[in-house]
Amino acid sequence: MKHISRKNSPPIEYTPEHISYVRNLRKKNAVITLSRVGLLLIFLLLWELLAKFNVIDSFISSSPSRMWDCFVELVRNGELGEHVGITLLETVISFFLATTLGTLIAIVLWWFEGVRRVLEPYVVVLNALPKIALGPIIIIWMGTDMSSIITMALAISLFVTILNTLSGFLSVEKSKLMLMQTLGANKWQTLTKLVLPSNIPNIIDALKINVGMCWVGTIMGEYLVSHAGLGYLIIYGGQIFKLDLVMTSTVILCFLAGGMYYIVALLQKIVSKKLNIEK
Amino acid sequence: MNAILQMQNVCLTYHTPKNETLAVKDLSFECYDGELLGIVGPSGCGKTTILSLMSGILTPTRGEVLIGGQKANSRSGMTGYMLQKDELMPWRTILSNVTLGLEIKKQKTPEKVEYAKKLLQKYNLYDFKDFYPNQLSGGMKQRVALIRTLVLEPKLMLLDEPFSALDFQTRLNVVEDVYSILKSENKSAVFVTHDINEAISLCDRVIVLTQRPSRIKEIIDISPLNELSPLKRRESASFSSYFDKIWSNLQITTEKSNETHITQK
Repeated sequence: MKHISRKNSPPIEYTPEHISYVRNLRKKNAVITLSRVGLLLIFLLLWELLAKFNVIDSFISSSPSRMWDCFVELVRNGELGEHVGITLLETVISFFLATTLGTLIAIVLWWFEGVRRVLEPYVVVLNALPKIALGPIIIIWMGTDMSSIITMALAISLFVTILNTLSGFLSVEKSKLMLMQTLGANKWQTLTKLVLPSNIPNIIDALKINVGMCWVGTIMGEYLVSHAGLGYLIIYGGQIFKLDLVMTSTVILCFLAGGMYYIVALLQKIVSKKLNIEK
Repeated sequence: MNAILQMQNVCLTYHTPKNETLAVKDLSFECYDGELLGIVGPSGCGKTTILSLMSGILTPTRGEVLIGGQKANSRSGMTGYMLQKDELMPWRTILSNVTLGLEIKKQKTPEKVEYAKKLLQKYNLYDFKDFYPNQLSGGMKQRVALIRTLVLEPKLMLLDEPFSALDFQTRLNVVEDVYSILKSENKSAVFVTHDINEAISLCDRVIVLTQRPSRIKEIIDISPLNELSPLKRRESASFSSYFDKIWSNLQITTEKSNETHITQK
């Protein structure tokens, strides 16, 4: 009955079957990784060749080498750092705002059932509303600077955060709530000792969604009002028909968004390990 | 003998928008100091409701629930509740799970923590105090849950089918463990179950309840088996006669309620 997993187990002698099983598994994984990289390389190569032999019009489609030249140019004249910096700043600010505000509002709604029931339809409608429709209102109210962009990003990510986090709070096991009741816990203790810790995986999942949402919001905001940032570069490049600029900015955006998602995923791994949450 | 628990004409009505349900009707009985009192009833007879009344989570519509002469109150610390599943927090170590109640009651003093460690030691769990619940077997987890309750030094233990989530073999062992722990800590306990065997092997007296609204059908005294441990009781000659007695009483209540159900239709 005493089935305990130990951390420092003695070295185990593996059977040949097991060794060949592990080898096969590794081989499969290596093939997957190689295919991933290969797919990208083939795509880039095809793109480059097709552009080079004028099968496709590189004025419209650009090409990897032209994008590289554009990238080098952006780095050389120092524009890249400025635009990336601004977009990153806007995204990170709105990400933190959305996460903290969303979680706080979810806590308030969890705490006060009456408030929750009153506000529920409003949150649902605001969540369903296509936020881009708020563009003109946001510009007029917030002006044509960074605050407008952050407001747009918040509008997109906040309600999703509230709804996801709240539904996590409300789905805490009934029997665990009963335990807290039998121990005589008050609401604050129930929140801090049960609801919040058991919802950390949910909250981190919400963070993952938020990363994407905040990027959408920031770029959309920059389309609307900005004078700088990657979104601005893309719009500007489109307006002057400089597809190299559009494509290059888009690729940079891919890397940034992917990197930020990766950081959150890493955070999730660390926290899960620390809190002994199996995922 | 002194009664640690007195139920005096307790009634409880549940309200839903469409219905009003009388869950407990005029229930009166006692649990004496040091006694293990079993409550057996057909499923849905409101056994958990009765324990909730005793723990003070629910307040009776009429009548009174007295623990040690005082009205039951969930914050008083007089009762300790053990649930069907262990409900250990997976992100807490065994020791910090055991001291959860102390934290909540703001009693986490060095002495109490020492007491918690002593209990863990006594029941062979001390080596696992820094482990997480998912590293322990079901039976061990249920013992941890029991210790979490014992650390608060309740006057009356309330056990709500605490073995039902365990597999059969583990169950027999855990019943044995819980019995010896309760006896050695000299605790009074009310034990609710639908398992007749468990009631006989653990309790000094067994109350058989009727279908909802719960009333007492019969009280069966098992004190002749008092000196035997649960496993030994199962081997004793009189075990089956106790079983038959409780079984027949349960049968009558379910049949009757079926009849009334039909006539109502």
